[in-house]
Amino acid sequence: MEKWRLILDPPRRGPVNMAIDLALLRSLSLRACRPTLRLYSWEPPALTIGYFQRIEEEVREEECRREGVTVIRRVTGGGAVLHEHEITYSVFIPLSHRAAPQSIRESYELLCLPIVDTLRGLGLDAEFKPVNDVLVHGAKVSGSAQTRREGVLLQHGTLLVDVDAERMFRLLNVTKEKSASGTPEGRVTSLRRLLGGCVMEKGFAPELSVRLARAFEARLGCSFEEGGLDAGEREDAVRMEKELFDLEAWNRDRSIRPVFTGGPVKRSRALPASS
Amino acid sequence: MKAPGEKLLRVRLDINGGTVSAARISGDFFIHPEEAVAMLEDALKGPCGTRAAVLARLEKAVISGNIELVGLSIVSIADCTLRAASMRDAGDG
Repeated sequence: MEKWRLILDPPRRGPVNMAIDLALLRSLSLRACRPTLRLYSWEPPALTIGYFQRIEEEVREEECRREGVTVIRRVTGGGAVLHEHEITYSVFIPLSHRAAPQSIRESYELLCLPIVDTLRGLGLDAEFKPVNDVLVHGAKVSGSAQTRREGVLLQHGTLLVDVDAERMFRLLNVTKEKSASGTPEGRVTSLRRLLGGCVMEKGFAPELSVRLARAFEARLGCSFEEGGLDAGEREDAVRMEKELFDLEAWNRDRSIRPVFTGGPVKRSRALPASS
Repeated sequence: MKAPGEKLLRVRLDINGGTVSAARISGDFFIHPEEAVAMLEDALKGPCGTRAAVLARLEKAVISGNIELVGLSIVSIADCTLRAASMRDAGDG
């Protein structure tokens, strides 16, 4: 069975987490690593917005500043997410690989099904809801987002362990369209709500990671070997953190693009000195 | 706006004398490749025109850019654009 890499990362700052995902995408595009599953979390809590979202439309920036929550725009589309008590996954597969469906919609399903399997293994009645969600009893417990760049499929997503809906909707601007689809408490759920306080115990997150990894192995027909970032990936991640995700300009200016060709990953144009 | 089965979509326009000089598409949808959103925004520039004309420009951009929309359609973009154009000053579809 094909060996893939499993990275079990410690909690990190938001810009670092996004930089590592981009560095791993590049590493695989250069065929410098194997297909990879990364499981990670966020410390301190951070808020990400989708590539196509506007921070001023989606986020209550003053509230985020007051609560010390960093806001980062992702390289993937989708919606805004408060990353607090969750396990986040990112999976990296060459687009030419047998495990990467050419259809975007099919690949969302394939890569969300390990989440569904994991939740069903915990006794929950989970289901995949196209395009990119996993629901339990009609409420969202996991959302994912995908990009395809440089011949690599990157999908990352969350599995909510606990959710502070009040805080989430204090930090986010809730549109009238979303308000119309129900209360925050009704639309979003978490493992804590579904399974009880046991999920907050120290041993639960590692066990959940193991279950997730096994579910990905089963769906993708691979076998994981645990590993870390190599030196080149660490170097790229540090650069992407400083030159892209740590910058206010990245959050607001879609004309800034990560560039992958030749040498290290870098952004496509110089930023003003004030940035 | 949020069309049934699709994600949230906003279109903001700068309009001068009945002509769109700049367009900004935002929301929680997916466009592949991501950077191609600029091609769709460019396709909205020009005379506001009819729904069919806006759709034709968007379709041309989708084909030439090999763009795939997920949770979004050119019909929604066209409708949201025309709505924003009709609001003119608000510009928020």
